[in-house]
Amino acid sequence: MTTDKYDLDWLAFSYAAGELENTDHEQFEARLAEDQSAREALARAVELCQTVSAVETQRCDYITPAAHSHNNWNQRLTWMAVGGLASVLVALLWSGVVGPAWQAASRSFHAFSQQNLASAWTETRTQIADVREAGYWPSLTSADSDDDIPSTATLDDVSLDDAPSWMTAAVFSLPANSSATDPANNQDSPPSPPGRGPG
Amino acid sequence: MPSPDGDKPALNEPAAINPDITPLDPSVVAALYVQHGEELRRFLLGILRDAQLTADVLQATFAKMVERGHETQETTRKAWLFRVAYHEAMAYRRREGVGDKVLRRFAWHTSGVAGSSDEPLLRLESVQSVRDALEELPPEQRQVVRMRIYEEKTFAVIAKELKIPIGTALGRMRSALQKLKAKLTDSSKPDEKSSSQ
Repeated sequence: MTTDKYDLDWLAFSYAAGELENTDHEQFEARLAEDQSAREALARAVELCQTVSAVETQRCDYITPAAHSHNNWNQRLTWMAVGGLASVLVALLWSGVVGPAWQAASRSFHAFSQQNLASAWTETRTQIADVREAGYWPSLTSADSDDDIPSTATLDDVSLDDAPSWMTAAVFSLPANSSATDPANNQDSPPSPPGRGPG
Repeated sequence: MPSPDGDKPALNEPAAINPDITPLDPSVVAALYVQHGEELRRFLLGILRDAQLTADVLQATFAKMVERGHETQETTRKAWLFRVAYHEAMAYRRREGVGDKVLRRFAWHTSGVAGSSDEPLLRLESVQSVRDALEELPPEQRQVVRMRIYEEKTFAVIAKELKIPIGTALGRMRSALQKLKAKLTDSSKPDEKSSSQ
């Protein structure tokens, strides 16, 4: 087999790369046993392949971290943007610039609760007055505690004295027209002013 | 007569020892070692560039000859030894990550002295020369080189992916190899001069 140097190198490379046909493959292997130049060509081919592969691997090692750092920066910027937006949103909510509807809804809900509370309290007072007029209201007299509570004092009076502040506030905040819409106040006699029981 | 695949041992795998088959006479193996051992050692050294690995692979090669040499014909034993030695060497390279040491071996090749004190410098020069040679290749040639050597694709696959005839892919590779070898030879010449002084 007479081949020039480049042909031999190409043959050796093709053998190392596993690209030779069966016949050529066997011929080259037989040649390896006898031809020192074929062995040297094979060693050169292997060397060249390994060197190129190593250089390419090195190049990829250089490129890959750069790509990673680019991705990292993108990720960082994204998180920074999300964090910034969240901070601005919180600040706006805190300052009241954003969300007047929410605040108005909260206020109306608060007023509605107070109105309901006042209505319930007024109804209770009316029922107590009716019971007292019928003579069924027990008096709070005690043999041992005359000094503390007057004998003529009623539960209603005590209740009035000890009326909690929320109740007073609720009644005072009751709108003027609430009695008309509230079935609890839809009676013949208007509800007594706060702090004054019918008895 | 040997079996049809008698000259094609299952490489890279320990040969299964069949008690029914008589291994090759150790004296025959010893004679083969005396005859071809040195040639094989040089051949392996050229591929592995590492004396210790060369010794290991040489030993493994003759161990296979002891186990499976009876399947070979006497006239083809030398070729069998070289083939097995080559495949064992390539298997060693893959297993042991010899590819990582390729740059050092390249330096060894150019300086002619393993582990010389100026090895790192030579190594950098070799890397640079290979890199420069690759950079100077036309893009289409470099692409084929990269796909064939680094990505380990066959020429058939490369031709299909690049939508070119396989002859064109082979031609590009061949031209690229010639240029690379010329560049690498040029880069190693000053070292050869300095090492010969």
